[in-house]
Amino acid sequence: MKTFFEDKMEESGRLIENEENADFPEFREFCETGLVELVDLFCERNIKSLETGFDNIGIKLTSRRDVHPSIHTPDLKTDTVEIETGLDSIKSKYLGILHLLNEKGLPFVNIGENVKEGQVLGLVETVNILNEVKSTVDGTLIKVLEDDGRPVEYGQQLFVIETQ
Amino acid sequence: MFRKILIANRGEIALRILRACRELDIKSVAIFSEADRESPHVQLADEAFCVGPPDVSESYLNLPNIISAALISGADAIHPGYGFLAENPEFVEICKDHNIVFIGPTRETMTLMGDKAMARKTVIAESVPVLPGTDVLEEDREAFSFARQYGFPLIIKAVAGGGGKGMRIVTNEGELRDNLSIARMESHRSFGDDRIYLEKFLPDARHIEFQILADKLGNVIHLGDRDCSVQRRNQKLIEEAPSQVISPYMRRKMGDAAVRAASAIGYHGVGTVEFLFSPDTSRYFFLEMNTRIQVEHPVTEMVTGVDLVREQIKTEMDEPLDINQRQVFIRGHAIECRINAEDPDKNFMPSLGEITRFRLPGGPGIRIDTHIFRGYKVLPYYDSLLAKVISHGKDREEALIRMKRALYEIDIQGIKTTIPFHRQMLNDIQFRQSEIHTRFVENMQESIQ
Repeated sequence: MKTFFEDKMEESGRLIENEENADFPEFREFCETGLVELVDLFCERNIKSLETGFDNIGIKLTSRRDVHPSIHTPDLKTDTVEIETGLDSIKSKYLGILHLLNEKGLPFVNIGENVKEGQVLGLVETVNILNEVKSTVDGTLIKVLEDDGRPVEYGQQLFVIETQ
Repeated sequence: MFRKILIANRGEIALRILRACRELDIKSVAIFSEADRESPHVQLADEAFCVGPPDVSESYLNLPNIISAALISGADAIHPGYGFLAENPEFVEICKDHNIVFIGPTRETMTLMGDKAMARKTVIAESVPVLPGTDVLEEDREAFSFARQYGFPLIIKAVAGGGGKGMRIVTNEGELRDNLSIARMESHRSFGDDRIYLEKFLPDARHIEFQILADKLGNVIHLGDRDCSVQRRNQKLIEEAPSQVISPYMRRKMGDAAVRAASAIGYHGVGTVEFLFSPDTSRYFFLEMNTRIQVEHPVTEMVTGVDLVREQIKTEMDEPLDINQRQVFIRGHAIECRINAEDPDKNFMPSLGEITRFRLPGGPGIRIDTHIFRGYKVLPYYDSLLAKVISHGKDREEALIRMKRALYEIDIQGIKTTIPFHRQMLNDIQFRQSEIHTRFVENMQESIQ
């Protein structure tokens, strides 16, 4: 599951130079307090790129958007994930709220589990109707690209399956 | 007060509505198909949701996904624009069920005016003149006895038709016989309703329509007329305001009739009452009422200074009109040329492809409403309208001069467009003198061939 922070960063198009730096306590503190604010400001002002840092940690934010007005699709990850060979992505055919948990509160499929073509991976709730998202291939679920309870749109990649 | 409006449309009209929302400080939600991801309406909206693949039936008409987008984004209202869901009473009901305001008429008024036979009856009761016509045809022999009584030419119309679709002109008994069953089939296929009726056809008439604006408190005004006589197969190509052939007296009379028709059905928002006008006899006849914002609304905006889309949204928020009939002034003249992705040399056949060069006209008195850009791909799924070039001048002559200049400046390459047709029209003596009628373009094409 992604944290709010990761989510925010992905949204604005982030680039953290060195993830090991996260071990520094100052950096942790900064993440908890200032960074969210910084990212918000970055999005709000439509800044193209920004480099800042303290001590020996540098932060670089770059926006992949080149259109300046407004904040587009703040709640959806419309960027497509590049799928390597041997991997397949399962996309949403509906616009609605993604449900990854069944009525017992357990995931339909856990990461690392094998799935069969036609197997239900999740549900998309569209105007009170639960639409099944089924795997189109046999393979192993290796990644879930969106969190439970989040809105998803038509064509959005939801699951990555390793096919061979 | 709306905080957020979902725009259930694409292209230039989606942009037009977006602009009104921004001026009213209302947040906008765009929907788009996979083919429209790069469209300006998607980029300029506050939020945007992909609702389906390029095919219209699975995207811009995908009711569950559109309603879901409205619910997820927390939109208070949906603006349907024109086409797509703008005249679908079922959609109005669905919006209501989900506590979303549909920006447009009520289901009842929409259904009433969507049924051409019912609309006729309604306006007759308000003593608005209509052309001689039949009720819904039960049997073919009713058509023949009507033909014997009123003579040819006649026009067969679909009860569910509108916007130029579902009509057939017949000039003799043989054609009438052949076309009755074809018209029924066509109507059934297009609208799922095979009811048809007959009307007397006026060959040299002009299409003159009145813009209605009404609030929910019962105030109904008209914002003058538009002359949309330059048509091809009942599809408008050039629209002007005000018409050159109706006198101020006739304008008042026809405007009053339009207001009566709208008041009778308790209409609110923007709507258009269409008439046929015969310049020879100075008589006018009700055609139909369109219960939506129309493509050609900018010409009225140019001559009245009223932002129709903004007013439409405001009336839906229960605000009263801030002008009355006496405060409506027509200033100068406006012309709109529709730039379509069609080849005028090949009978206006749709032209598909990528726009490789795009230069916009500008300068005094020119307004462009468009969603296209260099690299834009014209796809078969959508309407062929690329841009609306609107000119405004102190009189028709100045508006014509400006339009001619704008058509000289505009450049769209990569596909065929109606630009050459408009340039030719602007040089046509008859058009310049406004001696035109609804079959002018067809006659012009015939004379060339």
